[in-house]
Amino acid sequence: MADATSPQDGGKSIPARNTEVVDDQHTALRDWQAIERDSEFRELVRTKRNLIIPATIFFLLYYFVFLIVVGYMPDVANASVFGNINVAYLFALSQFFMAWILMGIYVWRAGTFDRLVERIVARVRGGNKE
Amino acid sequence: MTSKELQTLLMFGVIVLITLGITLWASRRTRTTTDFYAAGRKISGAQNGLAVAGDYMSAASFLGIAGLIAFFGYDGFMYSVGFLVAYLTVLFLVAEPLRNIGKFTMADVLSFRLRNRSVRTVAAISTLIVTLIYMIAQMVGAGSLVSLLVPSLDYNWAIIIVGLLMIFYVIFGGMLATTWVQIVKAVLLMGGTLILSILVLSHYGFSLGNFFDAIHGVVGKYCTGGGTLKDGACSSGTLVSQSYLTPGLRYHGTYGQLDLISLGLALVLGTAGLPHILMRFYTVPTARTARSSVVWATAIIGVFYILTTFLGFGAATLVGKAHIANQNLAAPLLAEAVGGTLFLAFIAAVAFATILAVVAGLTIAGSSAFAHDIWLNVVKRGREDEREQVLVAKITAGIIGVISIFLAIALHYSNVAFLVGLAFAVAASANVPSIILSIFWRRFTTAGMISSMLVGLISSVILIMVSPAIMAVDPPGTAAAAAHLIQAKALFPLENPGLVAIPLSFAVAIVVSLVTRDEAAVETFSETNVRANLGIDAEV
Repeated sequence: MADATSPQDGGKSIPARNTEVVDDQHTALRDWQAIERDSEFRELVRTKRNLIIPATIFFLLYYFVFLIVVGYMPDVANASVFGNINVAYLFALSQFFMAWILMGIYVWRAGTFDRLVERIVARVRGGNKE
Repeated sequence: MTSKELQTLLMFGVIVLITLGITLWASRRTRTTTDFYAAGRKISGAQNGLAVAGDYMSAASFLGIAGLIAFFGYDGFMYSVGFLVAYLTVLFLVAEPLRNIGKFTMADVLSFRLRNRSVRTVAAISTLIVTLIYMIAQMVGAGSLVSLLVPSLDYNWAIIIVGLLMIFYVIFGGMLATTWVQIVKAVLLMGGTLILSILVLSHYGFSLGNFFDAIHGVVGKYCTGGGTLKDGACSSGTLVSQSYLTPGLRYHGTYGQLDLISLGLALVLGTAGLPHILMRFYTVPTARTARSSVVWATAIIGVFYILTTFLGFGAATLVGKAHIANQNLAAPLLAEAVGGTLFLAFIAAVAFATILAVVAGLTIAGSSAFAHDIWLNVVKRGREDEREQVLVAKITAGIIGVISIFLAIALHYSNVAFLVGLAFAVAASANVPSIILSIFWRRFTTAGMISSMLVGLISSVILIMVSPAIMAVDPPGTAAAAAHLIQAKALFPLENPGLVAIPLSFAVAIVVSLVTRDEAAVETFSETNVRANLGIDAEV
């Protein structure tokens, strides 16, 4: 589903007006389309996408290759690594470390997003006094 | 009453007292709807990580996986892997946007762009169905646990006690009590599992090599071509004997292999569609804390699932399949074998706490889906009255509790792990495509979402009803407890519907969205996109 995760930037002509709705979810009137066109916001979405899409593809591939090895490749799965500890068990165990390492990378990189978000939010709030 | 029963009851009593104390403390701090549904959004990242772990490591994880490994060796461990990897889906795609956009429920995210009461209604129904299935699994687990460890206490009474306790926690303590019950449970469960694992390893002189040699020596058997094994001979097909470390004791043959992939798909996506887990991300103040709660949860849950190696294989080597009458009791029986009756009572009480924490989380997810989604936003059309809402949520919690007591009594003989697998598959098919597409896809339309949710919900439930888990012709003399519900040849060859229902639901969502127009949804995508990424105007 990786292609569905990319917002179709610029591909559609968006009516340039506010969605004038105020209810319990839509508390403030903001020019959402203008923020969306903001260069820093676009940079934020782009850097996030450049991390999330490859990371998602990687972990799904790593996981499904594991399922296929376990289900369909008994010779590989049963090969011994240390004594009676086989590839199937170590490959399963490696999924845990894969998840922890990917999360570590994500959190480390997310610090950059947070700083970018703070800058954009400060600008939006500053230019749009409530 | 034997001393074993007394010890078990005493341990259970301590757990109940601790949780009741938490509930009383929390009840003084629960006033508004935000308090009731989201613990005032004041839970820290680490606390919420523990609570997510407590909510997630259910009876299916502790009792179910240990039992599956004890019976099917390596294949049972596939659940552990899938349950854990699923948190990458939650972290990368769902947790932060959900916290930024939503308020209390899964339906908040779905109906944000597609401001449509039918979206909320369908999402709430899906939440209630997933929640109820999950809940029945937990309660059946509690009933089996209690009635086997404390034979003087009837199964039905055990269910009623669990049901009443969970109603009490939720009605009086709301999300705050639920959160702390989950935190206490997570700590107890991790402690119990760690001690149990150390005791198992000590049996092998703390040598992993010796432990794996022992597992290698355990042999499992099955018949090819779907034959049944009886007295060491196959009704049809040929007999296969293999080590417990070799994959395939449960998933073998063409359909078995496909079932493995199907289960994997349902597990890796399902967590991101479980309403009671998603709801936990509203209890923290910001998206950043939502992120850190996933990381904390994954660290804790990961260690736990790695330790299921010792619980499951330990039960296989030290207790032996032949001595485990009820699959769900492999872990408690292992505790008795390595630690004696007092340790058995402790582990049983931990399992009991596990169940209490999960049912409380499920009850609050179900009651918020009704009170916040159906009552406030559909019936009352968004005109909010805080007191009335909290009251409606409490009444719903009571009703959900009573319904699940009756269903759990009626479904006495169901398999716990199977019911949870069903909940994951339904959540992955009905909820996940809509959650992901509504956050990331501008062209997603109301019609696309409603049709995808309905197709996912209905197809997954129907495929399960006609699967070999429900439909099979049992050989004569099968015990009532083990018999299949429908005595006919299964119409669908896989036990898990994920492989068909999940892609189908995604396809319906995309195709229907492409052929329908929804100006409002396209327009509000800008707001969704900005708010999901910036957290601006997020609920505080």
